[in-house]
Amino acid sequence: MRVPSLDDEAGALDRSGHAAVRAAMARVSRRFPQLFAAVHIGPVGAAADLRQFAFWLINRAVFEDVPKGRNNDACVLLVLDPRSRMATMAHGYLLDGRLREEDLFECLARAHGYWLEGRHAEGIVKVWNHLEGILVRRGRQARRAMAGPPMEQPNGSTPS
Amino acid sequence: MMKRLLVLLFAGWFAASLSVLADPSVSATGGGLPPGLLKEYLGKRPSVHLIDPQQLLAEHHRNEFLRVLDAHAADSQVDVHVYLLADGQSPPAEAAVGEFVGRAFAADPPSVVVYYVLGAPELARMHVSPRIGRSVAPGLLAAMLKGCVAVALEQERPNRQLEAFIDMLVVRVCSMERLLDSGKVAAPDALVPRSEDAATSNPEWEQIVAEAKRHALWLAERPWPVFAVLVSLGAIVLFWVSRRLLLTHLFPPIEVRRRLGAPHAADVGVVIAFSNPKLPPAMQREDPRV
Repeated sequence: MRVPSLDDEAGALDRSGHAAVRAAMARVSRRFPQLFAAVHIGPVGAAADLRQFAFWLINRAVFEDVPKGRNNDACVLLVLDPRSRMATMAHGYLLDGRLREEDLFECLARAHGYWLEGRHAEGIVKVWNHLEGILVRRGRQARRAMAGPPMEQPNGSTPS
Repeated sequence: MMKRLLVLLFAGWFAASLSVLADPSVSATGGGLPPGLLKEYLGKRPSVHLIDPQQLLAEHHRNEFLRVLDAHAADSQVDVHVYLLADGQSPPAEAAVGEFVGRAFAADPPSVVVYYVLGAPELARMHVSPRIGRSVAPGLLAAMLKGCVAVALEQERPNRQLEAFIDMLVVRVCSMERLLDSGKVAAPDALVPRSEDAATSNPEWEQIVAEAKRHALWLAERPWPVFAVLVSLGAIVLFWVSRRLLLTHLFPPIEVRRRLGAPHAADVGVVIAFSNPKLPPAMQREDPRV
């Protein structure tokens, strides 16, 4: 299934909001050349459905406007359902052991106030901005870990 | 590349600082005066009341003005010193004159010091020794100078202008002296306690103020190094910010075992609801185990 990396099915973003979100996503791709950001805004359903939908989307979708050489292992996905007023985040294998569930929750919590007020675009931009900060820290930690003695990753793998 | 840029930046700053420190004539101290004459105008307390190092006045005129000023000095407790500058020159910088007057005219008798440009009375600048400065509000001094300039501008010839200026200055200084003697000061802001008066009651504070003034003066006399430091700091901040924004981050590759038959991602993710404005985000987090 081919989808754009910013898919506003619900029409929650106006033109300027669309541009702001697109710029924030582009910044993630630029600062972290191995990664890309994707956003899906649309009606999904209950919490379990949202989680399953995100899992399905990140594994099955082909994001159209993603720089060449990056597959969905490098994806950080945000799914926002304005109707059920819920959101979720998921990431590909590349960030396994580097992004924790708490980190994703922190990002979503940053946007919580905006989304409560229906300011979807601003909330999404906050998510990506906060994620950038976390990724910078994690990248630094990963490089330090590579320089030092090998550390066991949370999923059982070791740095190659 | 970045290190080289920083080295060049600091080298430029040091060069600018050293060049200005080495050549005092490049400062703003002298205003429009030739550097050789600075000592005459900003050196030490003069022994005469009319200072004309450039010999701008004919001798008989100079003597005439000196007679008036000497007579005033004999009658009054406040001396008047008039420094003459040629037309086209500008009085030295305010900060430099302030420092000079504060230093050279600190001792008694208190003095009024005027820098007068021959043929351009409107450019005249008036300063007073610290003792007068503590007692008289700046508004009164400005009014005094304004009155003298207005009278001088009524005349056409430069000598007549100077004569009118000095006559009026002498009269005004006498009036000011009377006001000081009577304890009254006519300026509108005289009723407001001045910071310097407050400072005299606290020697420590006075010392701090004096130190701050000395540093401010030092900086004012060296605008280029200060400018260079500010530009350098701005460039460093800009460089740091741009580096932070443009820097890319790469994660070292790791081997990850694919799980749940998922080709790209196996994390269940985190879900947050934003339906209740009264509950914090942590209370609206949907736990996958529930």
